[in-house]
Parts: sequence; C-alpha cells; structure tokens
Amino acid sequence: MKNWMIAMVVAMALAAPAAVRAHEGHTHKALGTITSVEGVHVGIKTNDGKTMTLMLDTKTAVTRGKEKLDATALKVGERVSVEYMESNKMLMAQAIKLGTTATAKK
Amino acid sequence: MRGVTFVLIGVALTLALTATAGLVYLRATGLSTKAEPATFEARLARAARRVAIPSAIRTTANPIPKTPEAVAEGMAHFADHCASCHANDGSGNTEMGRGLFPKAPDMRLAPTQQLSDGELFYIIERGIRFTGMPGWSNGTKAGEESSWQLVHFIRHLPELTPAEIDAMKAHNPRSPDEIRYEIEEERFLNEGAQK
Repeated sequence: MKNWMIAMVVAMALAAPAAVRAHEGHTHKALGTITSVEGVHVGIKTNDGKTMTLMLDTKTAVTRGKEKLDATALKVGERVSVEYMESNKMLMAQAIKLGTTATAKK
Repeated sequence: MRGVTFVLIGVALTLALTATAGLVYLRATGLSTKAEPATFEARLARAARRVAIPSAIRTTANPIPKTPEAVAEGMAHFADHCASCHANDGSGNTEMGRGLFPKAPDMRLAPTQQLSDGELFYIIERGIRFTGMPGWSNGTKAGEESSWQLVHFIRHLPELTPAEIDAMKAHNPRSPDEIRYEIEEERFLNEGAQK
C-alpha cells in the first residue's frame, strides 16, 4: 500500500507539465526620428544611432502635446518619443509622442 | 479495530491525494506569477477575504464626507502610492500590475466596486496576504483618513476623466532616470519647433 501511494505521487508529479510561458517584455522608451512609415510599421532611428521598426496597433496612442492624433500623423522626419514593448518578437508601439510642431519632410 | 484501520487508510489516502494535488499544482505553475488564478482559486480567495474582514468593519460607512476636496486628496494619494500597480485609471494595466499574481484588478469593475466602503478601507489598511497588495496602515488617525479618501476616489474611478488622468501624472513617483528622460524628451521634442 505504502509503495503504491509513493509511486502514485511520484508518477503524477513527474507527469505534470512544467509551465512554459512566453516572457512578456518590459516597456522601453526611446527618442528618435521617423525614417519610414509603411502601413502599421514605423521605422525609427534613435538618437543613439540604433534603428528599429515599431508595429502599431489599435491601442497605440499618438499624441502631439496634449492633442490626440491617429497614425496618419506619423510622417518621415518627425521627431518622436516612443514607448514600446517586445511581444512575440515584435516591438509593439504603446505610445508615440510627436514633436510639438510638425517637422516632417514634405 | 478493522473500522479504525479503514479510517486510517482513508485519512492517509486523503493526505496523499492532497499532497499529489499540491505537487501537480507546483509543477504545472512553477509558482509563476504570469498565470491567471483558476476560477475556483479566485472564488476561494474572495470567500476567504470576505470571511477575514470583521463584519463590524465591513458595514462601516465612510466617515469622511464625499466632497470634491476629499476625492482630489484621494486622487493625489492614489497617483503617488497606488498607481504603480493599479494605474492612474485603476485598470491595473501597468508593468507591475500585469506581473502580479493575481494580477492587479480593474478596479472600475463590479468585483471591486461592489465591495463595501468598509471592505475597501480594510484592504487598503491591512493589505491582502499572498497577493502583491501591501497594508498601508501606519496606526495614525491621519493615515486612516487618507485611506477613507482613497475609498472615495476608488468609487470615482468609473467616471474618471482623461483630464483627471493627465493631472494625476504629476503625482506619479518617478526615478531619477525617468526625470532625466522627461527633461531630455521635452528638449528634443521642442527643438524641432524652434528651428
């Protein structure tokens, strides 16, 4: 009886799968300039020389000062401060603040 | 004698099953905070919380009158002490809030709003074991008044305006790095306007 109970405990414990969960990223911030806008992808060159492509979604907040804008306000050449999070190997833009005056290339 | 043996075997089996269930739980969750509590776990925890709060406190009405000043005090206090986990809008949608087990609740919704004033006060003052919720009581009357003001603000959460959320940002705690970033951000975003 004792052996049977020990065997049951050990077997069930070993059979239980260890939880493997995707690592949720942290929120990061960066200052830079928009280098490309293609659909939901926005290319940024950061002030420290790195390049990154952020993905927009419906939750991405785009603002200029206190004014709330939509994604169409994002233009190449705009100075931006971005908040983003890595999710499923993509950089998801959470918030994009634009320079107080539009500086985009025409 | 035979009856006693059966009882002992029953007790041993119950203990073994409980231990097995515990082991399975540990192995399955890795005690990670990334998981969501199971439904039965959440119900059990809520029931335990309800039992743990003395009925005299549960039925206590908020002794602080709900004035705009009291709500504003609660709002500033919430932004400074609570928003790191609960977010300014009470949604719980912050890095820390999302990482807790259980996750910080959306306080605008019924499970929080249906708690009595006394229950909210008790939770603020005493915290909740095995969650990320600390007890904020400092044993002073002023501290209790602050907690009651927080209760008023929690009631106000469902109708919080974007302007109020914006105003709360000034009260959110910031690290030296965040302050440096904000200064740099403002300078950088405004530089374009000056050219």
